[in-house]
Amino acid sequence: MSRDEMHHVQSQRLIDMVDRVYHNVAFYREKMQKMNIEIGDIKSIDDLKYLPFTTKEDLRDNYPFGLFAVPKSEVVRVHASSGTTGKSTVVGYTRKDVRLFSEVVARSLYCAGAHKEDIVQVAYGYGLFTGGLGLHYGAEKIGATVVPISGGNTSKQIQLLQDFGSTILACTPSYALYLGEAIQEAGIQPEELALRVGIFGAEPWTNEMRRQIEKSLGIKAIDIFGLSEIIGPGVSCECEQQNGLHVAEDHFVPEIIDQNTLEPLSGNNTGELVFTTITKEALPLLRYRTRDLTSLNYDSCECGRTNVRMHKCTGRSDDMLIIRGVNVFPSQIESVLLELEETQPHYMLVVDRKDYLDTLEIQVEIGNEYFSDEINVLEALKRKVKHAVESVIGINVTIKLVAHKTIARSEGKAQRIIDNRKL
Amino acid sequence: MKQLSVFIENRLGSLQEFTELLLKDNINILVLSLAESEDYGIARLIVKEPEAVAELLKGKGYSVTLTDVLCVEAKDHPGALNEVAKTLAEHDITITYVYGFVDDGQARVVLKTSDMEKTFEIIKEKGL
Repeated sequence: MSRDEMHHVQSQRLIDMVDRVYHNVAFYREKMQKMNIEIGDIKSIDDLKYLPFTTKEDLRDNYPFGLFAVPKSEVVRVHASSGTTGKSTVVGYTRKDVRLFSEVVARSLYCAGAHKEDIVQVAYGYGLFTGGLGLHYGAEKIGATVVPISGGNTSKQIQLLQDFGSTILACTPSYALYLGEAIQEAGIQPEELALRVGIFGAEPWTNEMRRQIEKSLGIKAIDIFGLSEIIGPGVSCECEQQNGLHVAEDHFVPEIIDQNTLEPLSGNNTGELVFTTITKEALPLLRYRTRDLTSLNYDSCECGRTNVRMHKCTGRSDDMLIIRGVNVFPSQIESVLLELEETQPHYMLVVDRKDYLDTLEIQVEIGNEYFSDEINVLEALKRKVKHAVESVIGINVTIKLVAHKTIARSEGKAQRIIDNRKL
Repeated sequence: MKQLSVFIENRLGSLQEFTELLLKDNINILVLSLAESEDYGIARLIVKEPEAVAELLKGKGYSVTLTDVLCVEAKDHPGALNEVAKTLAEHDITITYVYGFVDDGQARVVLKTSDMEKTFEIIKEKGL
């Protein structure tokens, strides 16, 4: 499709979408009214810049179904963003949305070089997380054989790679690294496996990690990108050129904005990535701020595809951490510590990667009042903090007690995170 | 007797920093026992004027607590501690922690138990 044709398709779909959200989502109608925008003002995709933004906060404020644009009877599936078990962000799909989800993942798989003869081992988690089911439906759509093993259980993963001759592995890049090492430890050479392509996403990873994975598993490692708010995996995916991720822009229109002024930037500038879902029915989002920092490339690719490519995300414009594929906000941890009377709101998060798995250590200061001369008492305090934090953020953490006032106080924005993963 | 307990991080040099502070104020440690865990330790000290030392350490940002402990003179021969432990067990008293030292040729143990008052009476009664 030429850029002109894409422009036309996006424009028609945006006009239709704006009409739908204006009439069906009170949140957007009120926003547009406040900004004095009428449906008729939006005549083409070039007018996107006049429309209001949507943030994760907006989704939380309207938890769980407040932003849905269809009656609940039309919703055939929900997913929820990884991370919070408290107020997570809930996303819904109509039957058509599920088809779209399958379609964009199927495209991603083709893009990565998959076809009907492949056996796709889906080692993403199945459940509220979009990764497992997303890859599953997409792989079925292209007619490949799906092995829905879900995450973890490494020895079984290796056994099935051997016995079934899986040719494609889909999981997080850190799990791929771990699996690569486990395979070597089991004395299996990569050449003994039929595996040829890996489709990895849900967390940031570097090109060094890519080389390591490719070597240890003897495969081509492809980056897939997505977020549940937009649809899940399949928003964009690398092709075999491994030079930027092709965006399914006929459904999800990307923009780059200046994260401070919120003004649109031309694509080749690095800024915050924003998506508008122009075809989605259940949860259409206008200008959703992903907080991921990247840039866009509109040149056509050597693979022949003409749709825009986004570069690998280089960071985030907020302080969200992605730990083992789970979204963690330091503010969630802070509110837990504030609720517990034994702890003070001074903490430090240390993220590391040990044996290819992310770890999160929370350093908590021990104040005079709760200090005890007995180890048992202090260990019980650690367990209490650990349970409280884990029940909110949903991943395993270790608690480390540190001396009073050793965590730096700051008048402005305190540095609360040490990320040793070097992503 | 008051025991001074101090939170010490389990890292290189932390005990050095702590003892340097005591040295500066010419504080002599009469007895020290250190309980360690993976990330921290609890230094339990017997000093002269524990309240004053506690205030000093608090002022330097240390987490400190004062605890009542019992100091029992043990006869310096095999089985002395066994006698104490046995007596307490017979009275359903559990020992939270214990450490020993020798002072001027006299062996002593410092005790913290689940019931300090009862322990005190039993020990007095038995003449331990």
